[in-house]
Amino acid sequence: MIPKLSVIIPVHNERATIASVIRECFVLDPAAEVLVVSNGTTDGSAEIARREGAAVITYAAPLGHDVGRSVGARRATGDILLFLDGDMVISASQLQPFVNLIREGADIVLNDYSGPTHMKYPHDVVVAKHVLNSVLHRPDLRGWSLAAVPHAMSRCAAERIGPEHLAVPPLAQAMAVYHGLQIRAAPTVHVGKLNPRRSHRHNGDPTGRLMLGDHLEAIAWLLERTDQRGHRHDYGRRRDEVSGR
Amino acid sequence: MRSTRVMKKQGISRAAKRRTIVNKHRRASRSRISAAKRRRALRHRAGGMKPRRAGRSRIGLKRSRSRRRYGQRRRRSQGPRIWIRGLDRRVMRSGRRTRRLLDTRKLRGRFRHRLAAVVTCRDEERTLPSVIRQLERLPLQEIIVVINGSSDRSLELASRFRHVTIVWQHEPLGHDVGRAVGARVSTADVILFMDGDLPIRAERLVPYLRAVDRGADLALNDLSPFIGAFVEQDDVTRIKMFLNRVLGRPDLGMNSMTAVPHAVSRRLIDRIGIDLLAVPPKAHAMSIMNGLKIVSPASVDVIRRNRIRPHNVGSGNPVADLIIGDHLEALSLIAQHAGPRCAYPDVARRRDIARGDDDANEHHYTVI
Repeated sequence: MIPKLSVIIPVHNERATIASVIRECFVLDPAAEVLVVSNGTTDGSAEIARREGAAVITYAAPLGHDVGRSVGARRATGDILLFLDGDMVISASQLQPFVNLIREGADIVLNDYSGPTHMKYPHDVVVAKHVLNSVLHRPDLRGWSLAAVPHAMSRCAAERIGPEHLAVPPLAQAMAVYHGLQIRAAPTVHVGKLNPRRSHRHNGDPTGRLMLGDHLEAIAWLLERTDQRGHRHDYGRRRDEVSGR
Repeated sequence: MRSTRVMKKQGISRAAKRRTIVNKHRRASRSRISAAKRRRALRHRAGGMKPRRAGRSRIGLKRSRSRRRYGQRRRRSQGPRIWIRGLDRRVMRSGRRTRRLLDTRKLRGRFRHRLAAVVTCRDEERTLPSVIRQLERLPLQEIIVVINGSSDRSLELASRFRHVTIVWQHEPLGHDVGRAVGARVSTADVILFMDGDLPIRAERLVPYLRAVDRGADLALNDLSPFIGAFVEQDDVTRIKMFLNRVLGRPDLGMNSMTAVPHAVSRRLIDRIGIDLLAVPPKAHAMSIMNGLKIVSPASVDVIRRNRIRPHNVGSGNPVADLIIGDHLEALSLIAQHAGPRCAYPDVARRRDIARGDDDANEHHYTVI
């Protein structure tokens, strides 16, 4: 039996791209279940999605970053969950490896993309992603993250993490590593180029700040389960010798 | 070539410009410019080299203006990079190099506060004497050497110096605990922290002492010149950078109290407590959270010059593991004080809907 594929696409006013995104999903697998979670949409994206053959869940108000993934994951019936964004058209040929690797037994397949790292001081989010992976004892994952699309996971991986935690991707990543799920990477999809360029000078970079908080939350979650040093040795620090004097 | 063109446009020929420079020096010579400088200006008029100009930095040090980049070798003729303005200079010949040393007797009146240095040492007999020798050249009231877990001649060598306070502990205290122990012994207003395995010339240490003496609470070693692109950075550098950014001080780059040399004020110690000095990233985080004034006045390359030992090389080495653990402890401390998300709240996310609390309320959403 071929495992069933569910594609989850949160959408918020993305009428320009949503039709092509869904079409690529059906090229990838004509039998796929495409779930579009439309939240706070006013430009008719939801209707376009329905016309393209997707199942659409509509919320009138915006749900906030990545909450659509949780909603979609809970309703998905497939054995493989593929997560995309409504504003990024990624060809079926580029998505194929993500599905294939799950079929080969991986629990989670991430995009082999670490963001721009050729400079001395990269963006906060790039630093945070690398730091989270090294804190999780997985520096080999570099800057790969569940925060970046596309990524895929098996149904049991999603259940292990808990669909509600998929709304905070760094937290989900920490849980995945902590639970020992097998994480692999598919060939790079350059999502940085697909993302619209935004200037952070005037708006104070709200997404960057949110992501920084998400990573802190993930680290805090991990430290709650380990100890305040994340089970790292301090090689016999005699702390009593300081206060004992 | 460009400057010539500009000058011509302004109606000044190159020769006229040169005359102006010489005249400027002549005018100045009447008052205070040295004979050597005048000679250089005159030599320039004769078609020789350009007169050397010196800029003045903020902290009252004079540094030679060179186009040299970091890592490039200094030209022999250029002399030292930093020396104290207006002080007599001894010129010393060592080997083929001429070095000017600062006359430390003249430094004495230049600091407002009482200064101390804390050197932590564990089996570092080869380098400890030169560390202390450099510190003796500075106007320090106290030089405190914390020798712990040493089985070599460190104690004997340190006790040969007259003005050194030695704290001896037979067993090893562990990483950085010596700093806190030394700070507890000290009574000074400014404390400079050093490692026994890394001799640094006194001239290079002056900026840290001076910064704290002039009102900063923490003067860190600015490591940014020695760090490459992010892809080449190690996990320790990255987590240091992360901590600074989380605390809203991205300007500090990867500078941290983990690295020596750094100087702290008595106010910092009183505010954060001495115990925290044993875990430098915690002290660092606490200093930022307390709004203390933190600067990075100078750079000393402690990365390439660090002694290579079996446990500090390669990724995932024990020391890297220790420092990452220290930073995690600092992050726990931040979480205790400012919540798990620190200053980055998540207001827009509907976590109730993510959890599925809303699934029963069908009127909130529609499924097509």
